[in-house]
Amino acid sequence: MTIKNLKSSLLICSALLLSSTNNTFAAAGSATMLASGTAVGTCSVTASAMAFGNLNYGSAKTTTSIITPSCTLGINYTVTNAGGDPTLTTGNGVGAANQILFPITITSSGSGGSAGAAFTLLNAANGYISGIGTGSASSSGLSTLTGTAVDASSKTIGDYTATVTLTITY
Amino acid sequence: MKVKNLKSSLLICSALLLSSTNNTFADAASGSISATAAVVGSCSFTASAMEFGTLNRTSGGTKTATSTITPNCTAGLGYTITSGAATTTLLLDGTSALAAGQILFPLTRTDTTLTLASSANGITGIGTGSATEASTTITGTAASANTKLSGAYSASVTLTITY
Repeated sequence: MTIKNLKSSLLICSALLLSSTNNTFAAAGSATMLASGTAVGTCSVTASAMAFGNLNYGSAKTTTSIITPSCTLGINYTVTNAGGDPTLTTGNGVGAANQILFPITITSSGSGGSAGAAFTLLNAANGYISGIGTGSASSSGLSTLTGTAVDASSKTIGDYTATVTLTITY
Repeated sequence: MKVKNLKSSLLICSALLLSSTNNTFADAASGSISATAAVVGSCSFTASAMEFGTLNRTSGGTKTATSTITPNCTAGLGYTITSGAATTTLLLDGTSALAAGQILFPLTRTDTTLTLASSANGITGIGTGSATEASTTITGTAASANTKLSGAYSASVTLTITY
Protein backbone atom coordinates (compact mmCIF):
# COMPACT_ATOMS: atom_id res chain seq x y z
CA MET A 1 0.00 0.00 0.00
CA THR A 2 1.40 3.40 -0.93
CA ILE A 3 1.22 6.62 1.11
CA LYS A 4 -1.29 8.01 -1.33
CA ASN A 5 -3.45 4.96 -0.85
CA LEU A 6 -2.98 5.19 2.91
CA LYS A 7 -4.24 8.78 2.92
CA SER A 8 -7.23 7.77 0.89
CA SER A 9 -7.95 4.95 3.29
CA LEU A 10 -7.72 7.30 6.24
CA LEU A 11 -10.17 9.70 4.63
CA ILE A 12 -12.54 6.88 4.01
CA CYS A 13 -12.14 5.65 7.58
CA SER A 14 -12.76 9.17 8.91
CA ALA A 15 -15.88 9.43 6.86
CA LEU A 16 -17.07 6.11 8.16
CA LEU A 17 -16.30 7.21 11.68
CA LEU A 18 -18.32 10.40 11.27
CA SER A 19 -21.22 8.54 9.82
CA SER A 20 -21.26 6.11 12.66
CA THR A 21 -21.37 8.66 15.45
CA ASN A 22 -23.40 7.47 18.43
CA ASN A 23 -23.23 3.93 17.22
CA THR A 24 -21.59 1.42 19.49
CA PHE A 25 -19.25 -1.22 18.14
CA ALA A 26 -16.87 -3.60 19.78
CA ALA A 27 -13.56 -1.76 20.04
CA ALA A 28 -9.90 -2.29 20.84
CA GLY A 29 -7.06 0.08 21.50
CA SER A 30 -3.42 0.14 22.28
CA ALA A 31 -0.94 2.23 24.16
CA THR A 32 2.80 2.25 24.54
CA MET A 33 4.66 1.96 27.79
CA LEU A 34 8.10 3.56 27.70
CA ALA A 35 10.69 1.87 29.85
CA SER A 36 13.99 3.42 30.85
CA GLY A 37 16.74 2.97 33.35
CA THR A 38 20.12 4.40 34.30
CA ALA A 39 23.15 2.48 35.35
CA VAL A 40 25.20 4.80 37.53
CA GLY A 41 28.58 4.44 39.11
CA THR A 42 32.01 5.89 39.18
CA CYS A 43 35.57 4.74 39.48
CA SER A 44 38.83 6.37 40.41
CA VAL A 45 42.28 4.96 40.85
CA THR A 46 45.25 5.86 43.00
CA ALA A 47 48.76 4.46 43.00
CA SER A 48 51.47 4.49 45.61
CA ALA A 49 54.74 6.16 44.65
CA MET A 50 57.29 4.05 42.85
CA ALA A 51 60.38 5.02 44.83
CA PHE A 52 63.58 3.43 43.53
CA GLY A 53 65.92 5.14 45.95
CA ASN A 54 69.53 5.12 44.84
CA LEU A 55 69.97 3.29 41.56
CA ASN A 56 72.64 0.70 40.90
CA TYR A 57 75.70 0.87 38.72
CA GLY A 58 76.06 -2.24 36.65
CA SER A 59 72.67 -3.73 37.44
CA ALA A 60 68.98 -2.94 37.36
CA LYS A 61 66.86 -2.06 40.36
CA THR A 62 63.22 -2.83 40.98
CA THR A 63 60.48 -1.32 43.06
CA THR A 64 56.72 -1.62 43.22
CA SER A 65 53.58 0.46 43.25
CA ILE A 66 50.25 -0.63 44.66
CA ILE A 67 47.28 0.24 42.48
CA THR A 68 44.08 0.92 44.36
CA PRO A 69 40.90 1.27 42.33
CA SER A 70 37.83 2.68 44.05
CA CYS A 71 34.65 1.78 42.23
CA THR A 72 30.95 1.69 42.90
CA LEU A 73 29.77 -1.70 44.07
CA GLY A 74 29.43 -4.09 41.19
CA ILE A 75 31.12 -2.02 38.52
CA ASN A 76 33.63 -3.80 36.34
CA TYR A 77 36.83 -1.85 35.86
CA THR A 78 40.05 -2.13 33.93
CA VAL A 79 43.23 -0.18 34.67
CA THR A 80 45.74 0.32 31.88
CA ASN A 81 48.84 2.38 31.23
CA ALA A 82 48.17 5.40 29.04
CA GLY A 83 51.65 5.26 27.53
CA GLY A 84 54.63 3.06 26.80
CA ASP A 85 57.68 2.18 28.87
CA PRO A 86 58.21 5.16 31.17
CA THR A 87 61.43 7.10 31.60
CA LEU A 88 62.92 8.77 34.64
CA THR A 89 64.57 12.06 33.77
CA THR A 90 66.82 14.58 35.43
CA GLY A 91 67.77 18.13 34.54
CA ASN A 92 66.38 19.09 31.15
CA GLY A 93 65.73 15.44 30.39
CA VAL A 94 67.52 15.73 27.07
CA GLY A 95 70.01 13.08 26.03
CA ALA A 96 70.51 9.48 27.05
CA ALA A 97 72.65 10.46 30.04
CA ASN A 98 69.65 12.22 31.58
CA GLN A 99 67.16 9.44 30.94
CA ILE A 100 66.64 6.12 32.69
CA LEU A 101 64.03 3.68 31.44
CA PHE A 102 61.96 1.78 33.97
CA PRO A 103 59.66 -0.66 32.18
CA ILE A 104 56.67 -1.70 34.27
CA THR A 105 55.26 -5.22 34.50
CA ILE A 106 52.23 -6.56 36.26
CA THR A 107 52.98 -8.38 39.48
CA SER A 108 49.40 -9.09 40.50
CA SER A 109 46.55 -8.05 38.30
CA GLY A 110 43.40 -8.62 40.31
CA SER A 111 40.89 -10.73 38.42
CA GLY A 112 42.27 -10.09 34.96
CA GLY A 113 45.43 -9.40 33.01
CA SER A 114 48.53 -11.51 33.01
CA ALA A 115 51.14 -11.47 35.74
CA GLY A 116 54.49 -10.62 34.23
CA ALA A 117 52.97 -8.89 31.22
CA ALA A 118 54.34 -5.55 30.13
CA PHE A 119 52.17 -2.74 31.47
CA THR A 120 52.01 -0.58 28.36
CA LEU A 121 49.27 0.84 26.20
CA LEU A 122 50.56 -1.21 23.30
CA ASN A 123 50.23 -4.37 25.35
CA ALA A 124 46.94 -3.38 26.98
CA ALA A 125 45.29 -6.57 25.78
CA ASN A 126 47.37 -8.51 28.31
CA GLY A 127 48.95 -5.85 30.46
CA TYR A 128 46.04 -4.61 32.49
CA ILE A 129 44.48 -4.83 35.93
CA SER A 130 40.81 -5.54 36.30
CA GLY A 131 38.20 -6.32 38.90
CA ILE A 132 34.75 -5.57 40.21
CA GLY A 133 34.10 -2.63 42.45
CA THR A 134 33.00 -3.19 46.00
CA GLY A 135 32.30 0.41 46.87
CA SER A 136 35.45 0.66 48.90
CA ALA A 137 38.89 1.84 47.94
CA SER A 138 40.59 -0.88 49.88
CA SER A 139 38.31 -3.77 49.06
CA SER A 140 38.18 -3.21 45.33
CA GLY A 141 41.31 -5.31 45.20
CA LEU A 142 44.91 -4.33 45.53
CA SER A 143 47.12 -4.94 42.55
CA THR A 144 50.83 -4.45 42.28
CA LEU A 145 53.04 -3.21 39.48
CA THR A 146 56.80 -3.64 39.38
CA GLY A 147 59.10 -1.07 37.80
CA THR A 148 62.62 -2.04 36.78
CA ALA A 149 65.06 0.84 36.43
CA VAL A 150 67.94 -0.01 34.14
CA ASP A 151 71.63 0.17 35.04
CA ALA A 152 72.59 3.70 36.07
CA SER A 153 76.07 3.49 34.57
CA SER A 154 76.92 6.51 32.44
CA LYS A 155 73.94 8.42 33.77
CA THR A 156 74.07 11.91 35.18
CA ILE A 157 74.38 12.17 38.94
CA GLY A 158 71.21 13.62 40.42
CA ASP A 159 67.56 13.11 41.27
CA TYR A 160 65.25 11.61 38.69
CA THR A 161 61.45 11.79 38.45
CA ALA A 162 58.67 10.53 36.24
CA THR A 163 54.89 10.37 36.16
CA VAL A 164 53.01 7.43 34.72
CA THR A 165 49.42 8.14 33.71
CA LEU A 166 46.92 5.39 34.36
CA THR A 167 43.50 5.01 32.80
CA ILE A 168 40.64 3.28 34.57
CA THR A 169 37.80 2.27 32.29
CA TYR A 170 34.43 1.22 33.66
CA MET B 1 7.01 3.67 1.33
CA LYS B 2 4.69 0.84 2.14
CA VAL B 3 2.77 0.76 5.42
CA LYS B 4 4.52 -2.43 6.42
CA ASN B 5 7.88 -0.76 5.92
CA LEU B 6 6.71 2.36 7.69
CA LYS B 7 5.68 0.30 10.71
CA SER B 8 9.00 -1.46 10.77
CA SER B 9 10.83 1.83 10.66
CA LEU B 10 8.79 3.22 13.50
CA LEU B 11 9.46 0.16 15.61
CA ILE B 12 13.17 0.46 14.99
CA CYS B 13 13.11 4.15 15.84
CA SER B 14 11.23 3.44 19.03
CA ALA B 15 13.66 0.76 20.00
CA LEU B 16 16.59 3.07 19.40
CA LEU B 17 14.90 5.79 21.40
CA LEU B 18 14.35 3.47 24.34
CA SER B 19 17.84 2.13 24.25
CA SER B 20 19.40 5.57 24.24
CA THR B 21 17.33 7.15 26.95
CA ASN B 22 19.20 7.79 30.18
CA ASN B 23 21.60 4.94 29.58
CA THR B 24 25.20 5.10 30.74
CA PHE B 25 28.04 3.99 28.48
CA ALA B 26 31.56 2.89 29.40
CA ASP B 27 33.38 5.72 31.07
CA ALA B 28 36.99 6.34 32.02
CA ALA B 29 39.01 8.25 34.55
CA SER B 30 42.71 8.60 35.15
CA GLY B 31 45.23 8.37 37.94
CA SER B 32 48.99 8.42 38.03
CA ILE B 33 52.07 6.84 39.51
CA SER B 34 54.75 9.18 40.75
CA ALA B 35 58.19 7.64 40.27
CA THR B 36 61.43 8.88 41.79
CA ALA B 37 65.03 7.72 41.75
CA ALA B 38 68.49 9.04 42.33
CA VAL B 39 71.85 8.39 40.77
CA VAL B 40 74.46 9.01 43.40
CA GLY B 41 78.19 8.67 43.57
CA SER B 42 81.35 10.62 43.99
CA CYS B 43 84.90 10.65 42.76
CA SER B 44 88.20 12.04 43.87
CA PHE B 45 91.74 11.38 42.78
CA THR B 46 95.32 12.04 43.72
CA ALA B 47 98.31 12.84 41.55
CA SER B 48 101.90 12.27 42.57
CA ALA B 49 104.42 15.05 42.03
CA MET B 50 106.09 15.23 38.64
CA GLU B 51 109.76 15.60 39.54
CA PHE B 52 112.04 16.57 36.66
CA GLY B 53 115.11 16.97 38.81
CA THR B 54 117.89 18.81 37.04
CA LEU B 55 116.77 19.93 33.62
CA ASN B 56 118.81 19.25 30.53
CA ARG B 57 120.60 22.32 29.25
CA THR B 58 121.97 20.52 26.23
CA SER B 59 120.62 22.06 23.06
CA GLY B 60 117.56 20.12 21.90
CA GLY B 61 117.66 17.83 24.86
CA THR B 62 114.39 17.21 26.64
CA LYS B 63 113.71 15.49 29.91
CA THR B 64 110.73 13.47 31.02
CA ALA B 65 109.08 12.83 34.35
CA THR B 66 105.91 11.01 35.32
CA SER B 67 103.01 11.40 37.69
CA THR B 68 100.66 8.65 38.82
CA ILE B 69 96.97 9.49 38.77
CA THR B 70 94.88 7.43 41.18
CA PRO B 71 91.10 7.84 41.00
CA ASN B 72 88.78 6.85 43.84
CA CYS B 73 85.21 6.55 42.62
CA THR B 74 82.01 4.91 43.74
CA ALA B 75 81.80 1.40 42.40
CA GLY B 76 80.42 1.41 38.89
CA LEU B 77 80.62 5.14 38.40
CA GLY B 78 82.24 6.14 35.13
CA TYR B 79 84.80 8.95 35.20
CA THR B 80 87.06 10.98 32.97
CA ILE B 81 90.16 12.90 34.08
CA THR B 82 91.41 15.74 31.93
CA SER B 83 93.72 18.68 32.11
CA GLY B 84 92.07 22.03 31.70
CA ALA B 85 95.30 23.62 30.45
CA ALA B 86 96.11 23.68 26.75
CA THR B 87 99.78 24.06 27.62
CA THR B 88 101.73 23.50 30.80
CA THR B 89 104.74 25.60 31.63
CA LEU B 90 107.37 25.48 34.34
CA LEU B 91 108.08 29.01 35.60
CA LEU B 92 111.26 30.26 37.18
CA ASP B 93 110.52 30.74 40.88
CA GLY B 94 106.97 29.74 39.96
CA THR B 95 106.16 33.24 38.68
CA SER B 96 108.43 34.31 35.83
CA ALA B 97 106.83 36.18 32.93
CA LEU B 98 110.05 36.11 30.89
CA ALA B 99 110.37 33.66 28.04
CA ALA B 100 113.83 32.80 29.33
CA GLY B 101 112.23 31.85 32.61
CA GLN B 102 109.61 29.52 31.15
CA ILE B 103 109.96 25.89 30.10
CA LEU B 104 107.10 24.03 28.46
CA PHE B 105 106.36 20.50 29.62
CA PRO B 106 103.42 19.09 27.63
CA LEU B 107 101.57 16.23 29.26
CA THR B 108 100.71 12.99 27.57
CA ARG B 109 99.21 9.78 28.77
CA THR B 110 101.99 7.27 29.07
CA ASP B 111 99.94 4.66 27.25
CA THR B 112 99.19 6.96 24.33
CA THR B 113 100.72 9.89 22.55
CA LEU B 114 97.65 11.99 23.08
CA THR B 115 97.71 15.14 25.07
CA LEU B 116 95.73 15.11 28.25
CA ALA B 117 94.40 18.58 27.56
CA SER B 118 91.30 17.31 25.84
CA SER B 119 88.24 15.58 27.18
CA ALA B 120 88.44 13.26 24.20
CA ASN B 121 91.87 12.12 25.33
CA GLY B 122 91.15 12.04 29.02
CA ILE B 123 91.79 9.19 31.39
CA THR B 124 88.61 7.20 31.62
CA GLY B 125 87.51 4.33 33.78
CA ILE B 126 84.83 2.89 36.00
CA GLY B 127 85.06 3.22 39.74
CA THR B 128 85.61 0.22 41.96
CA GLY B 129 84.91 1.93 45.24
CA SER B 130 88.53 1.71 46.24
CA ALA B 131 91.37 4.20 46.26
CA THR B 132 93.62 1.45 44.99
CA GLU B 133 91.78 1.06 41.73
CA ALA B 134 93.69 1.16 38.47
CA SER B 135 95.99 4.12 38.34
CA THR B 136 97.24 5.81 35.21
CA THR B 137 100.61 7.37 34.58
CA ILE B 138 101.02 10.61 32.70
CA THR B 139 104.28 11.84 31.32
CA GLY B 140 105.55 15.38 31.21
CA THR B 141 108.27 16.24 28.71
CA ALA B 142 110.22 19.34 29.68
CA ALA B 143 111.73 21.21 26.75
CA SER B 144 115.40 21.94 26.57
CA ALA B 145 116.66 24.39 29.20
CA ASN B 146 119.53 25.38 26.94
CA THR B 147 118.64 29.04 26.72
CA LYS B 148 116.82 29.33 30.01
CA LEU B 149 117.75 31.19 33.13
CA SER B 150 119.23 29.25 35.98
CA GLY B 151 117.08 28.66 39.02
CA ALA B 152 114.23 26.63 40.45
CA TYR B 153 111.22 26.09 38.20
CA SER B 154 107.78 24.96 39.27
CA ALA B 155 104.23 24.73 38.06
CA SER B 156 100.86 23.61 39.28
CA VAL B 157 98.57 21.79 36.89
CA THR B 158 94.90 21.48 37.66
CA LEU B 159 93.32 18.25 36.59
CA THR B 160 89.56 17.72 36.53
CA ILE B 161 87.65 14.55 37.12
CA THR B 162 84.13 14.41 35.76
CA TYR B 163 81.62 11.69 36.54
